[in-house]
Order: sequence, then structure tokens, then C-alpha cells
Amino acid sequence: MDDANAPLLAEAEHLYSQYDHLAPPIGPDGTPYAYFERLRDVTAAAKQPVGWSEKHGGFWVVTSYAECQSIIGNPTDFSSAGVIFPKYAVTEPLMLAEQDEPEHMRGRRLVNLSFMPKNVANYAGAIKTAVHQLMDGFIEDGHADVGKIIAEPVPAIVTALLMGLPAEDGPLFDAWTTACTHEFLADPVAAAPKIAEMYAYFEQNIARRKLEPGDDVLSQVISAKIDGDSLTHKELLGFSTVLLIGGIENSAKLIGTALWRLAWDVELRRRLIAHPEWITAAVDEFLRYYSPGTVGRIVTNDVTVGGKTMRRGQQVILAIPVANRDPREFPHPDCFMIDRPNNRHLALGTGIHSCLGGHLIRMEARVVLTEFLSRITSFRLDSTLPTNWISGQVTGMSRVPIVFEAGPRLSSERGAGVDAWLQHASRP
Amino acid sequence: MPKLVFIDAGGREYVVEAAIGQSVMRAAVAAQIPGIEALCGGNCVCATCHAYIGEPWYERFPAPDDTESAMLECTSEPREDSRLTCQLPVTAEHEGLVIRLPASQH
Ligand code: HEM
Repeated sequence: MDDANAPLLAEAEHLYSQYDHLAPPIGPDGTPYAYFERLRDVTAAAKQPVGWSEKHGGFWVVTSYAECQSIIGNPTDFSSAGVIFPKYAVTEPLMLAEQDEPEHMRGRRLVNLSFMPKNVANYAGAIKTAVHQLMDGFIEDGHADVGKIIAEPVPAIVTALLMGLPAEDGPLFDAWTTACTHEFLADPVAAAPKIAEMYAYFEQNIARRKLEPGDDVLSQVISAKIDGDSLTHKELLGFSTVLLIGGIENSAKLIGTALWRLAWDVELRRRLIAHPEWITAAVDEFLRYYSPGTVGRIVTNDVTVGGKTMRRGQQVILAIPVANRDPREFPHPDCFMIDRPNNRHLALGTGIHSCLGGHLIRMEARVVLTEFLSRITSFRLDSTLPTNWISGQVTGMSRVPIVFEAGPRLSSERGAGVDAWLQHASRP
Repeated sequence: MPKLVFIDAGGREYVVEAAIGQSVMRAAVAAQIPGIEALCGGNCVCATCHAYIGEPWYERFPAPDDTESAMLECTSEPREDSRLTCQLPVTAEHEGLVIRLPASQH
């Protein structure tokens, strides 16, 4: 690079050296996107798709779409053992997500069919009912934190359904997920008993499901056989944990951030209310535009990517929220386009590890947004209350206080799961 | 280079040239045909490259294996002539192959 570009190169290197996916600078809009866009623009102008961060003991950061895609698509040189960095508090490698071949594909085949479109469609009715019951809990008030009372509960209720568990245990899942992902990093001693409680609960549930199978996903997975092979007890425990850790928080952030955007983007809201059939495509654009997940890998063979030599054993972080705004893949990347053609975002991964819950979350987010917008058409952010963007390996809006025109309840019936959530959401 | 014809659920046609040996899915992705998502990139994991291969073409591919058959049944609109296009290698006898896309991959 010639001298004229030296300051640019230095800026890119500096930005990389300070990159910390657990604590990106939050801008005046309450999100880290001003920072992500700058990181993208500087690193692209300096032609540095890969750089070295000094944080957490040092790791590679990849910001471009092409390089992220090629690394995720190369399980030979990059191990999934490094998906989560720094590690969460689970004693075993996360099933599927942190496994490599051949163990990964063996497990994936045994659970995969349960997550195909026909099977996840069975849950659409229950999700719709849960959304309406949750909305009945606040629709007469004219104000609510829909981060707490829609975005957080729905994925936990869905996970309970998948595992054949009572929906009123949903708030427990929320506490356990937080313990494994955020609390463990800040205060491992306080998190430990909660994690132990989670494992004990899953043990009990698996034992119960073996005796009394239901039509839930866990029961299907317990009885799934391929050429006489089935999942071991330990693997079933791992499967339960990955559903919790891999399924709930991501989904809550996607839904929370979408509701936050709809609260101020009147134009987008108007179009989706007029054309609910566009919500499916909008969900994929929400996934691209505010990608909830960042994923990691560990280098297994020395390899050169984007001009940098990565050494065996080093940690790599793929900055998916940045790569999904790469103008070389997405024209006008900072425009939210419902009808974006060829929206091949990486928010659900790609290749053999691509998200197991991909069909489920698209259906779930579509049902939540469709039902929500069918009843609350006019709303805005409550400027007297703060929003809250959660950073970490999973990111997005968690507090979305809104005010709206109050409306009538649909029903006086309320499921036990919903009551538990209404109580849980009233915590500070 | 055989020409393949993709027809989406709305009836629009897209004509694409495929290389021999390339999968139908790869040809679609390279030409940016809307409706073939191919999230997993050809590993028969995600079922987002589902399409219908009508007569006389259906017979001109090797039959689906057990993994693919099981997945096809669980797509949102399975039919007798459903296939995952990542499992269909293009050969010289596929000149003019017609591929109909489902309304949705989800
Ligand atoms: C908005 C919601 C979601 C997002 C953004 C998301 C994102 C992702 C991403 C990026 C990966 C790939 C990880 C990698 O390549 O290392 C992944 C894998 C995975 N996801 Fe999701 N996910 C979501 C929802 C779900 C749900 C609802 C479930 C379960 C019900 C789930 C279960 C999994 C599992 C088990 C894997 C590992 C798959 C494998 O390694 O074969 N996810 N997800």
C-alpha cells in the first residue's frame, strides 16, 4: 500500500485492535450500528477484510461477507469448537454448534427432520395463541415494554413446547440462559447454582419423556433412529441445552429489535400492515439488517485469509452484523428493503452448521409480527423510558417501551404460561 | 453448457446456463434465481433448495436417497416430483431442463 493510504491502514488496524463484540460502542440511536458501519467502511477502504483484536487475549476479526462465507464454508481448516468466545458456562461442548465432523453430522441428521417446515408449522397455532394472550395482558393499558412482554416470552414459550415442557416454566429458561451466557462471564460463582439447576431439570425432563413420549420435538428426537443409531442420554442433555442457548436469546433479540424499528419507522409499519404477506420477506431483511448472532471458529490448519496468516489454535470471530452490511454483496446495504432481491445474508449461518432453527424462527417471527400488527397499528417509542441494546455474542434490543392506542382484550382466558410471564415481566 | 429453465410460483421464467457436473442448485445460485436459498450450500441439511422436476425430467436424475426423501416429505409443499436441487448434477442430457419453484422454501 502506498503512503497516501498509510493513515487509512493505521486506522483500520487500530479499529481491529480495539474490536470487542461483547462491548461495541453504542451510538445515539441506542444501537452499535454507527460503529459497525464505520468499521466496515474503514476496513473496506483499506482493503483489510481481516484484522487482529487485542481484546480477550487476542483473536482474528473478519468483517467482509466473502471472507466470512469462505471461513464458515471451510470446516476443514476452521473448527466449530470456537463458536462461542469467550466460552459460555456449559460443561460439555454445545451439541451440534460446537461439534466437528463426523460427530456433528451424525447428531444433525438425528434431529434435523424435526425442524423442517412441515414439522415446525405444527407450532404456528400455539404461537399465535400465546401472542394474543400476552397482548391481552397489556392491550387495555396503552403502554407496555414489548421487549419484556412479547420478544422475551415467545421464544421461551416455543422452546417449552418443543421440549414438551409446561409453558409456565418459560421464565426459568430465561434466567438459565442469562446465567449461561451473560452472568457466567461477569460473576461465575452466582451463575453456577442456576446452571446446576438447569441440568437437573433437563435430566428429569428427559427421563419423563422416555417414559411418556408426546408429540413434541424432544420425544421425536429421543426415538429418532438412523441405521439403528440414536442419541445417547448425554447427547439428549446437550440437545436440551443447545435449544435453550441457541434458540431463545437470538430469537428474542430478532423480535425485540423488529418491534423497536416498527415503533419509529412509520413507513415500514404502514407497508407491513397494508401487506402482511410481505412480513415473510421483511423477517429476512430484519435478520440481515440487525443480525442477532456473531459466530466464532478455531483455526485447525495454518491458513491465509484476506492477506493474513492465521495460525493453528487461534480464535477467529466472524463479525456477521458487519458482513451482512457489505456493499459488495448487498447493494445499498444500509437501506432496509423489504423486497431486497437475493438476500443471502449470513444471519443464520451457512454450510453444514447453518441454523437448525432457521425454518422455525422465520415462521415464529412472521406469526408474532403479523398478529401484533393486526391489533396494535398505531404505536411509538415511549420517550420517557430507556431502550436497552444488549451486546454480546447475541445482540439486539431487549427493552422496547411503547405507547399505543389502547384496545379491547380478545379473551378472558389466559394460559398458565402467559400468567407466569406477565409476572416475570413486571420485575424491575 | 446445457440451458436450464426455472419457472417461479408466479410463472416468471429464468433461463440459465449450467456447467456439466454442476448441481442445479449451484447454477441457480450463480445466476441469482430468486427462490432457491440453499442456506447449507449443498449438504442436504436445510431443505431450502426445494423444487419440482416434472416429466420427462424427473426420470433423468438418479433417485433421491433416504436422507433426501425424508427431508422432501417435510418441506412446506411436497409433491411427487419434489427434489432438493443440490442433489441434481447437470449432465449433457439435461439441455432444456424445466425446474418449477415452490411458493416458499419455509
Ligand atoms: C433469530 C434467531 C436465530 C438466529 C439469528 C440464529 C443464528 C444461528 C447461526 C448464525 C448459526 C450458525 C452457527 C455457526 O455457523 O457456527 C446457528 C446454528 C444453530 N442454531 Fe440458530 N439461530 C436462531 C434461532 C434458533 C432457534 C430457534 C433454534 C432452535 C430451536 C436454533 C438452534 C440452532 C442450532 C442447534 C445450531 C447449530 C447447528 C449446527 O451446528 O448444525 N437457532 N444459529
